[in-house]
Amino acid sequence: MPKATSVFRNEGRAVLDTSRYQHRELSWLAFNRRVLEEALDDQVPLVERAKFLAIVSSNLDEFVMVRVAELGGLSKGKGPEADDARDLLARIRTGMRGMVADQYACWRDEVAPHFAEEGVVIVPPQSWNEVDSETLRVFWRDQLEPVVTPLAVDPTRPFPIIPNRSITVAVQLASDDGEIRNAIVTLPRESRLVALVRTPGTFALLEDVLMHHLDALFPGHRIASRCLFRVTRDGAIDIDEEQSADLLSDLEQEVFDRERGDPVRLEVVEGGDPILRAWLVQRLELDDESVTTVGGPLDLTFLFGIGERLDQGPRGPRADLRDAPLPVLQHPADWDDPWATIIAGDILLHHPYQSFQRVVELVERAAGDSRVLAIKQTLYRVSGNSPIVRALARAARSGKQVTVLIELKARFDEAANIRWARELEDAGAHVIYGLVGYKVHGKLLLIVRRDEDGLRRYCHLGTGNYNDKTARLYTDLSYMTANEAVGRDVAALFNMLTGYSRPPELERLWVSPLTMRTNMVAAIRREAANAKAGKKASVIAKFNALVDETICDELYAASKAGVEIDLIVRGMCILRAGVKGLSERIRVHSLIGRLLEHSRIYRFENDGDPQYLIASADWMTRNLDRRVESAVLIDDPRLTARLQTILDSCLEDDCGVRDLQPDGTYVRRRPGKAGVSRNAFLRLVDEAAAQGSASLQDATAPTFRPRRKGDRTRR
Amino acid sequence: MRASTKRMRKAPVAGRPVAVIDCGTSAVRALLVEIKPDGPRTLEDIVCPVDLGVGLTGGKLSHEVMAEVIEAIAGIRKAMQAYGIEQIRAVATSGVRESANGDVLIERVRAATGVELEPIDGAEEARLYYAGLDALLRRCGDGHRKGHSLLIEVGGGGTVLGLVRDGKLVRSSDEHYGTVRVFERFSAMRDSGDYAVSIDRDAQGAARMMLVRYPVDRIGAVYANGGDVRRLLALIRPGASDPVEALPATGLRRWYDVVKGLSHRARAEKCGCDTRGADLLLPAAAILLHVCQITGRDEVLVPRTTLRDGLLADLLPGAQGPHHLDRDHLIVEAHALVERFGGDLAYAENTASLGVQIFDQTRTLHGLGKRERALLEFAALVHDIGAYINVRERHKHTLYILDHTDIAGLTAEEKRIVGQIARYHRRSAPQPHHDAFQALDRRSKVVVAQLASILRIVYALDVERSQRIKRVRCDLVPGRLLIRVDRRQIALERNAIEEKKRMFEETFGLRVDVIPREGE
Repeated sequence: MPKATSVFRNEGRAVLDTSRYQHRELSWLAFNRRVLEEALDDQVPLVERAKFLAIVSSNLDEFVMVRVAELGGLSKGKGPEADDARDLLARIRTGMRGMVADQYACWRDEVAPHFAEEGVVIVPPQSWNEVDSETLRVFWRDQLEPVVTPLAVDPTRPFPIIPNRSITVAVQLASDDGEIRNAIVTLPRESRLVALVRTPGTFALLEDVLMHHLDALFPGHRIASRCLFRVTRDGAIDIDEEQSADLLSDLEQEVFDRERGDPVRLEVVEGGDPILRAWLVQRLELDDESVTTVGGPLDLTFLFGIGERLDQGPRGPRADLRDAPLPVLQHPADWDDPWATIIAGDILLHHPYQSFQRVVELVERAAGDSRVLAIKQTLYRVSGNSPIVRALARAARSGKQVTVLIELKARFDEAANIRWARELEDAGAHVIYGLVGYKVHGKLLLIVRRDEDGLRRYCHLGTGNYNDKTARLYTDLSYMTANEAVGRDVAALFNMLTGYSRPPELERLWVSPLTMRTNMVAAIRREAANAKAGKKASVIAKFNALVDETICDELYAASKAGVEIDLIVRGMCILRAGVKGLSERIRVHSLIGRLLEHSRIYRFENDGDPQYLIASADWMTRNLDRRVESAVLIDDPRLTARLQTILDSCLEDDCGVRDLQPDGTYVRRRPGKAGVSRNAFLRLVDEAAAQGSASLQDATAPTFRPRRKGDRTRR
Repeated sequence: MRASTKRMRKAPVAGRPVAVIDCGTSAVRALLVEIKPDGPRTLEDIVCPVDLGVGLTGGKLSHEVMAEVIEAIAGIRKAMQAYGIEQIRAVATSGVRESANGDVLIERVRAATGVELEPIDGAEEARLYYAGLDALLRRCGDGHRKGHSLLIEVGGGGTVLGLVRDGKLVRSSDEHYGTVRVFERFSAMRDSGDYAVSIDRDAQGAARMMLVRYPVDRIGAVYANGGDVRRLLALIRPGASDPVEALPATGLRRWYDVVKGLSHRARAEKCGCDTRGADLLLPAAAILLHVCQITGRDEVLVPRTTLRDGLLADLLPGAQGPHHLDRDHLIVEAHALVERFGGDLAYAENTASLGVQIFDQTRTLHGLGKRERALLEFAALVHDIGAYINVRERHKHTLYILDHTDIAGLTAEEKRIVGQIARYHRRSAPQPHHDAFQALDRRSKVVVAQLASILRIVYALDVERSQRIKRVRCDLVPGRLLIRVDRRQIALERNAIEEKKRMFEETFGLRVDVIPREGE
């Protein structure tokens, strides 16, 4: 039974009332378990199952680096908060252990054997034949040995710093003269799979190659015992921005330092030497609770790349073991003159059902358009070799005013962002490194163009990052408009972000940390008032996480007032749904599927005149109070109809949706009878196709139309 | 493309993007506007908070404050570049004007950003507020009301007053009563009940003093403006969004009574802003309450205009530009001055009438234009107001009064010209040791000499102060200017002219003869 209250708070309050809210960490674990369910589902194609296993690992890494690290710090203190943190930490660790056990069982018992059936085998050292051994000996000699450095550890030397998330082996050495000493060897961050030549599709694990050749690293010593392990460290970035004279340099230092944060978790492979394991726990200043034993290879994120290996296997590329590819729909079809197309009507793109390419092209077109005077853009997480960044640099070099707000503090992407920032600055762009105290998370693009009839602002507002790579995997929305009010709002917001203007009054934008929370709360309250007055009232919202007690309280109050509330929340949700006397009218649904649900849509019934917004923000305290986020009111009925279809498709889905139960568990929906599936993904593919898009092929294929009698030649 | 299709398509008209910047005591504000044939369209409305409060006590602006202003203007400049804006007018009000090193700031802004910041006086501020209000009322289709209205702009560093009569700005003044200035004076007591009480009493004194010699019992409406006034409106009448909104005195009083007992933190919470922002509202509310009380109005009207709207109005097609009110407007202002200083209006008007008759008929001589004509008319109307101080040396007193009176619609140089024309209507002509005259630029000296010599002749034509002579006709004959007057008996005038015409003769190189009506 959960305790009625918990001192450890989610965000914003001193005491978490667990009868009203879930712990965010436990909710997060439940989310990651839903991801794991996808890997466990034998209806999911094999390569995708492996991908989900990898996602579970990578999610857990991030969770440990941030949340577990923070709780670990808190739990070291004294008083009720520390007690509570310890209690929560114990529950988290139990949950994580169970999840990892299931994850590895899935790999070991289902996915790995299935890959083997398909010809992809990871061969353990005991099964290496002579050819394999020779192949790996050469690999060791030429490629691995030159880059690994054994480090002896003895009482006279400090314990070496083991890089965050690297795979390392600890060995106990016995010298010829009987002296016992320990050493460690860290693997380079290279491909984990080493191809064997006996059959295409067979591989050895990199760590097995190392383990097999350890003797060579320690001549004159006997390897007494060994233990493969992986350390995860505290990954929080900690910079005093007020004091920082040069955020860019300080951040570079911090990114470097993150490799050296306090250890938080130790993963060891089953069968590792218990004495070495105890020694590691002691030297890393951890406790036994921080240790996870895995029944298989460390760090399953290498499975992200296994599909490619499969394609190189004996049976060649295997589309049958993957999700069917999404059609590349270029919408709108007419993009020769994007300016005219946008003026003709606002545009909504639903990625990745509709390609992100049009957004990239808009920036590229702006960069090369002599009528464009200025381009302003926020960049949070950009892809490697981002075409958008290249276009911005080109625009700056050609003398346009280019202002780019790069959020250096985008977690775990800092290094990439620093690189782009420098490149853009060199090109002559005005680069701003975020705001002191706030992360800039809003996705905004403003293009000022001197059209024939005067100056016009073209805006793009998105729910996802300007990242052409992730835009293929995340569902997101893009809104393009030349609307005067939106343009004015976005321009004003950029002025605020670039630091020389007081927060403006906005007409079509809701902005964190200024008006987003108050407007959201006001909208929920308006629904509550409408419900009480017998008017139509409902809230439907789709976003990634609900971690804000105030918003929960408002929703509870609205539920009690009679508002029907449907929340499509992919990840964490601290709200308790369907609890009698608290939230009977609130339903929470989590959609997990082949795409990462990332779009944020908020819909308020408003007595029959629904208000729709798309946003960069979730209902999280950090999104509402500590980040610069934007939501834009969409009023074009063509576009709101599309948003409604997206919401309906998710609500009616019976394939990937799980419904949150009053006890905090999630129950997966099953397809209805008579084989009629309401698969949101398939419906949204159709929805996107119905928007009149051009495929890449269509755009280049000439069309022939016979001339008919009476046809006039048009010029 | 064929010509016919070309004719059929209406060519789109691009606008002219412009920017106006107002560097005030508590913020640098800018409007970026595209002026199109169908009216101006706001591109951006930028507000950058700064704190020039320190300059208000005649102190010096610190390097930090200057850096803030420069950063703000550089940012605005960047925003301008995004729209390709090149035309700009940037002004600074009391915060810069009254600091000991405002010039340094202006120079640094110019060096760093290329923006020429022009410090403007209260008269120009009043004219700009009037121009903004005028444009707003025209847009609303209401126009100005008949009779007298009072404009009051409560700024951080000063309050500007304007008196509008029948739609014309006839008088303006400015006083060192600003919300920031008052706050700085009383901030030590801001957590005691004395803060609100002292501000209230201080505002009473300021209002009484500012409104001295304003026709307070004839004021039909009070238009109040300023950032703090607009914030008061938003607090007391939330949601009020009409172009002109009423702020009732009862509401103001009720609000004042509530906040005056609160601690400054509680006040801030009540006002939904930071403590300083809340503290600035009290002086603004207090002055409005006392203005209402003195003028007997039960509300002030808050127009949705700012100084920037006035600046912008100057840039619209057909506008005359900065510091400019048209002749009709100036004449009403001059009339108000004559009334204010107890002058003989009939005498003043006749003098002005004769002056412009001679001006118009001697155009080929002086070659001056419409604006100079208005300056002569203005000077002729007010030339005698110095008698209010003392009849002896009254021409010098007139100059002194003009120097120290806010006159909206004249540039600083024009104001000096008017003063000098009036000053030289009698006694000595300009001399090398007359510093004020010598300080004029070369062209202004010529204008003063030409117009003052006309005024001297006119002065002589009504030495009796009876307005006997009403019409003149000037004939230019070789070497002579014949001034024919509409009276036969002009011995007195001829005698006076002998003394007064020398300056004209020296200026224009012509002899002047006054010719009586035929039949003498």
